[in-house]
Amino acid sequence: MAQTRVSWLAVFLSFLFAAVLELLVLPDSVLFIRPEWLVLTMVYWLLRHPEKIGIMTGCVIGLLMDIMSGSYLGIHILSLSLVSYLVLTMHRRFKMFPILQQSFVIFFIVGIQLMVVYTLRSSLGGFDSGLSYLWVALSSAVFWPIILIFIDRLVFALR
Amino acid sequence: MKMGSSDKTIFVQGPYLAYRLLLAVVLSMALIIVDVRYSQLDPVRQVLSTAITPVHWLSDLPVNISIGLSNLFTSRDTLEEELDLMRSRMLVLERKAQKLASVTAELNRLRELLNASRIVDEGVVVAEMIGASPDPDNQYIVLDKGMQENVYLGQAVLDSHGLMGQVIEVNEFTSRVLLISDSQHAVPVQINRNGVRAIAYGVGALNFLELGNVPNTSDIKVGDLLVSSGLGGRFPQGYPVASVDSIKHDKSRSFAQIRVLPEAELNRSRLLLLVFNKTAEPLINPPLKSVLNEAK
Repeated sequence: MAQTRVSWLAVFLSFLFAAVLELLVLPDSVLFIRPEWLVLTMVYWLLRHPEKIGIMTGCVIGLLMDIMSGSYLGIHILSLSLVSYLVLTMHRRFKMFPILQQSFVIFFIVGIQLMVVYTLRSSLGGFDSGLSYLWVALSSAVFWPIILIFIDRLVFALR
Repeated sequence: MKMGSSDKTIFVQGPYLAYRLLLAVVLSMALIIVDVRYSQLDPVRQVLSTAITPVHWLSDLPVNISIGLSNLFTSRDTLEEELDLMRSRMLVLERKAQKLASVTAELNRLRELLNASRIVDEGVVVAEMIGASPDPDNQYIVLDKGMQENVYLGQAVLDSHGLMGQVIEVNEFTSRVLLISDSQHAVPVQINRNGVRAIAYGVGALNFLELGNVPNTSDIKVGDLLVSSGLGGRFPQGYPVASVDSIKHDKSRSFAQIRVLPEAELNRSRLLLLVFNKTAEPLINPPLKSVLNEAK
């Protein structure tokens, strides 16, 4: 990934697509393993353009997730800025990892993000659902290579 | 790999990154506290929710297209069959409605004798679901009617079988409905058979609710229909909410554990009814205050 101009159209389209996927009405049986599309897209852009996309963008996407999920404003802003920080501190190493190891790291990143969200939500009077978010982290890790290929294609097509 | 650009990435982020994170964390914490404690952020949320309405439409598109396609490829025979079925069903319902009119009139006459307020028929508007909660722990749905259609906060939402939930957020073109199965929701109900009151709590599962604080001795049986009691003033009276599925009497607890099944198809209904509750005015007894004022 050579440092090139940021294709803001690709950024916009990928986030729009992720948001649509996030809101897609799914049967209950698969709902609990729905990957965190927006977080994965965020990680992709953090890795590709760490000089342009950072904690600010994380906050904006976090606000979007807060609005979409109807949670208290700020919960996803907090978790996504944390994700941005984590990814930016290790983006050089991360790019060197083979794809399987990348997925492994994604599992932890999404897991930490969800842990923050769920802990805040249950401490603010929400429903405590235990460790079920680990399934979401797992499916996010599984979908990471697909996201990688898909957005790469998108960037290439829009060049 | 150009060295220049990669050097720049280190300097842009290095020392400042932690400060930026700190700033973001402090700001978002402040935002959470303000949103939990006060209602100043509600207009912001409303504007932003209205702004993301197109995303809701887009995510509903695949469902719409599949419905459209299946309509397109339905044969004429099936359609005619369906039409016949609906006609006969309509006849049956119309007959019931005829009876209902006379029964309601009689009921109102009887209530007049008791000096109670008249029962008013509520108006309804049909709305379509365009989105559901992506998160199984938060149970809400998004409807395609909003401020434009005079939807208001706390409005009751039904499907063709029973109570679904209440409106918790109204935007320009959409509204968010909290389902009765959400763990933060409770409905005041009464048993249709004998009028015993209870409260049905959501537990976060779509297929059952629980009745809280029902004494072990109260008269409740499996199969009893629970209707909204209208207490609390939020839901209109008399809509079916759930039916009793199982009752467990545990001697060590002071209350019975009762599991009820929601009547509404919480995870399947797409066409829903928004109930417009006209306030019932007292018939004969004017409010005490105005009587006292006139006496002066």
